[in-house]
Amino acid sequence: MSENSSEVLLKASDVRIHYHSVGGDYKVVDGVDITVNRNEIFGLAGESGCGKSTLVEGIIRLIRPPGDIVSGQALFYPHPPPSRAMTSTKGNGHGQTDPNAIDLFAVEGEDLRYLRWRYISYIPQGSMNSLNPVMRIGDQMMDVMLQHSELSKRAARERISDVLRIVGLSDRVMRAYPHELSGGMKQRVIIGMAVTLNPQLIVADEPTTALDVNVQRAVLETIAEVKERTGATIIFVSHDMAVHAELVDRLGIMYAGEVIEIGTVYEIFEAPKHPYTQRLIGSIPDLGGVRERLESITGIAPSPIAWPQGCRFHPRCPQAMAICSEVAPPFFEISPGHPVACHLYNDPQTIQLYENKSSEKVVPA
Amino acid sequence: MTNLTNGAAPLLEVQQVRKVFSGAGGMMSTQEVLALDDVSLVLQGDQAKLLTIVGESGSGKSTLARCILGLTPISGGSIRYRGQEISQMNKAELLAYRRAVQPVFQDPYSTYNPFYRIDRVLNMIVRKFKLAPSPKEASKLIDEALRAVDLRPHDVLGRYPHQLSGGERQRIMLARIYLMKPRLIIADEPISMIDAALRALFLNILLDFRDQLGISCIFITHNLSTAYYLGGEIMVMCRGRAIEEGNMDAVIKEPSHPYTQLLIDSVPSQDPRNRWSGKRTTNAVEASELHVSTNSCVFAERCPQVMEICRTKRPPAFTVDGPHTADCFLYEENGVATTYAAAVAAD
Repeated sequence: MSENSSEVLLKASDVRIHYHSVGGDYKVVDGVDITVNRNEIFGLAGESGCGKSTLVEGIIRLIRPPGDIVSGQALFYPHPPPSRAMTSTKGNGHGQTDPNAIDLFAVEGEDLRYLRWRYISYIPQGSMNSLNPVMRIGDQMMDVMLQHSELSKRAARERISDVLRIVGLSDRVMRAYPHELSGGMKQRVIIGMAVTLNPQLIVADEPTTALDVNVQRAVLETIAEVKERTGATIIFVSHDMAVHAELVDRLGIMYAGEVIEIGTVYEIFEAPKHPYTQRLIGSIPDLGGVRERLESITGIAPSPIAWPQGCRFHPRCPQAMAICSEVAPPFFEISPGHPVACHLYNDPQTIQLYENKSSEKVVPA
Repeated sequence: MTNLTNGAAPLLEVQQVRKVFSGAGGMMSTQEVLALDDVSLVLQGDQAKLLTIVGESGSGKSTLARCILGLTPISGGSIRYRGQEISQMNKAELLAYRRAVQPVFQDPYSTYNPFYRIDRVLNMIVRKFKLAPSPKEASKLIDEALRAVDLRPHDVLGRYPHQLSGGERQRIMLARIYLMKPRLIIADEPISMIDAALRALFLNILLDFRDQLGISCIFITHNLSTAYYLGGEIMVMCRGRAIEEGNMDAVIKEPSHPYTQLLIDSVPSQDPRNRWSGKRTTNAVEASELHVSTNSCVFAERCPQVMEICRTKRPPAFTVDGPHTADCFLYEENGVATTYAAAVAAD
């Protein structure tokens, strides 16, 4: 376990993030466990409303009322650990023992501020619109550095120029105002800001949505390059499965506030297990391939105020069995590191049968 | 003016359409932007067709849609529906045109009036176009339309727009179209704001409309995988010009214009074992970063195969193979295309 955990950068367990309303609680994230390893790109995929953005907003502590992190912990293992003593490491009631772990859900005030940008940075959804329109790009980047590090102005300026090079922009951009840049350039500036202080974890929420394909390609390549050159770990949220196939190392699939399958990008794309994952991959058209009628996921996405009983996917699942509407499926480990929450994999024999005849529906007795 | 009863007139004929937006640099500016630069296309009326227009943002594809719908006046050229110029139509003709040519817009969140229930959108059509003789018939018709777009009437009727997802709202738009039974749908990025899992459903409905109801469609998208899935014909736009046209399979499998090649190379592969890595792109510059003259190829500044002539002369549509044409001097030896649209444009 201790060997293994040196590879782990973030371990979130039993995360529940609810939005309180007069009509009841919206259980947007409802019991999620994920582990993110050092220097990997971990993808989070799922339909809109599945809770993927809320989950990462929770991890970086951006949830504001009426949103509420109801339970869980998000243990962050920075290496080297911050020199500043964190309140959360002095016991936080979660019974956590590792002295180097910081529970991101327990960090408050100045400690949280200390971690942001320096240890964890965030590329928000539609972030190209988050630049200040009346400040030059260089000054905005400078602000972040002077506020969140001890760098001198001069050193900061040099660093900005380095960072712009990493994201494929010229120094000229420092003098520009946001409106003078195109969407893709702004997006690259934001990625640049996110890496300026060499954070160990970068959380990117749909960073390429609304960009043209050729610009999307440049931005994705920038992210891959950042991972290689800075050694950062990236959590990459996107609804676009093709983008995940292109970029991520491991992938978690979310549905209705839960993670339902986790695996390497190869496991997920080549042997998806959960019927939802299979449909998600089956619903993307393949450019230049055989033109077959695509399957879509029929039915209506469930509401976070009243998730279905049992498996939350069962009302839309073509392979639903009697048990699915009654008992929420636990995770079954298909292979080490590839868990899936689906009753189809309850019986070892079912796994065998299923793999032998993947096109046939196999219903265990 | 072509005779209205002329059966040979194409369903839609867009001929050398130009659209100039002035004052693009601010209120007092005299700067002009050429959003559409001599764009021509033809949809024959003999059978239902699917034409997909692809291009990056700023390529003029949405402007073209708005011009065809009559929402934006054109600065030059002509748009004819069954031989009749749409800008010359009288009130009754325009109403008939608007009934025959139906839009689906990009944002399903802003197309609805938030104060009214979904039912009203559908009821209004039935009443306005007198589609049903009695309220009972009307509700039967609406039920049928909703089922045609894979919605259960009791799930959506009586609800307000904010209670439905983007995919559901976009399908209500299709249910509306099902009621109207138009000749042509102009769909401007209809699936860019709906979930991947529901996109296939939307596209399948459009294909069914074409095959079962005989409704043609001009589908505008920036997503090449979607375009390919729909099949039919494709037109690639770049900075206000149509730079490559042809049958979908020919254009996607053997893209001829270097711009189309760039677009296709940039599509994520969906196969984690066949990534771009190592094939790093060098010309991912965006259109908006460049200035383009009207006397050159629009892609010259970014083109890896640029020649001297590309910077001084605008390339006409050259034949690549049969109806497949590309506005690129690389194909000059094949000669200027003689497709219908090109011939009309050359008149």
